[in-house]
Amino acid sequence: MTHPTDEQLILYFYGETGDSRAIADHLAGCPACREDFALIQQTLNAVDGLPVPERGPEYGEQVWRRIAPQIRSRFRFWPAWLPPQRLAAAGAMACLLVVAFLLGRRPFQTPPDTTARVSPAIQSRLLLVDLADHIERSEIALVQLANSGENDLQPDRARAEDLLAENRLYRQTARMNGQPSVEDLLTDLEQILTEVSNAAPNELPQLKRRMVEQDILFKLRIVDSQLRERRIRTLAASSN
Amino acid sequence: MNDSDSVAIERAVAGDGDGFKVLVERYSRLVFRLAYRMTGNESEAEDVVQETFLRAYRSLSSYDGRSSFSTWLYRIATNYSLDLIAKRNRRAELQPPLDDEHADRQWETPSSAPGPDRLAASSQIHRRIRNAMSLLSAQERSAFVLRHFEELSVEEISDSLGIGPSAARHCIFRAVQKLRRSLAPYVSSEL
Repeated sequence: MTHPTDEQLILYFYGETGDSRAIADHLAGCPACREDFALIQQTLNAVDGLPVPERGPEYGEQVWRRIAPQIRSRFRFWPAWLPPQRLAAAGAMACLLVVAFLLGRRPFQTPPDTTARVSPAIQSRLLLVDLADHIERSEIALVQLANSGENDLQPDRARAEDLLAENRLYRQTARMNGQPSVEDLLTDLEQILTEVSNAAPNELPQLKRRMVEQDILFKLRIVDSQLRERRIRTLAASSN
Repeated sequence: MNDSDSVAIERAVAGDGDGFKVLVERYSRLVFRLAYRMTGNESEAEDVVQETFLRAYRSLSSYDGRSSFSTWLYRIATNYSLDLIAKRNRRAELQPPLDDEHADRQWETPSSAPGPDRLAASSQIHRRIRNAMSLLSAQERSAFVLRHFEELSVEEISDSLGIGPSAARHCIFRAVQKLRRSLAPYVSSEL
């Protein structure tokens, strides 16, 4: 056999080559190729050492608790014979029939737009209120954590888990709305909440240190007060 | 496909949320590991886990059982990870260049790493590997992670990434070549 190419050696390492016997025989008799292969092995073995954060056996249960409300609210008691796609198609057809019926009964004219809609201003106000509440609850949870001892970490972990799912949604909303400063704060908050929800009691001092280093409570307070000011301004503007 | 997977899937498709709970509990850690290796970021990996299972639940009725359930989940997780990486890269392009300290944030050291002394000793090596990984294109990284860490076959990888088997093979090859080049100065001496 001629010298195998690098691609063949890499595929050989992964057991993805058809002629592995021939390559093995070649390597046995060719020091240059053997050295080449050894370097590939060393590189790939080194990559194996890259650590991944541990997730314990209870992790699946934690993930389930986070997503269950969304799944249950969407599909609880959903009958198997009526998949959502079929219901959507039936609904669309029914709407078309109603519209066709109404159009047929009334003389054609441009009606005034009386559709009930939530204006962007109200949407934005609602979001502000929700986000401010979330920030405030996170702040309270972290203050409680800062004051808790190693023996009673369980309530802090449960609070952090609850806040974590909400936090992700707010962060994704901030990202979609192009609010990088809010997104950055929520990213920092999420890291802390993730760590708290997975923390062992002996990691509490490290967590507290991390909170101080990141100044997370201070940042939360600043954003909280900014959001409240904006709410007051928005309310004042809408009442004028 | 695993028999108990198919039972759980049938229950979930029939509207029984607890059927899906079994799958979430069974595969969350696997998806997290994959997501972390794809994104290099713990918080984004958590995001991927949550979104992967929500997307899986929404499209569960379209799962046809041709690939194993885990491969199907990997496909969803990989695609969402690629979306996140693309968004992150777009944001980075719009922002001023990060200094070295912040550049490490996208491939951060896990918080559960061992004590400070050992961490200090190994962090240099890990940083080199993380930097080398960050030089891979999104598709190269996906193919490499799925082959090297998750031990998927080339066919499964091509299925997951929606590319042909020879393209998948080539992605793995290019990824390993890049890693070799980046890590060459350290492989024989320090690693």
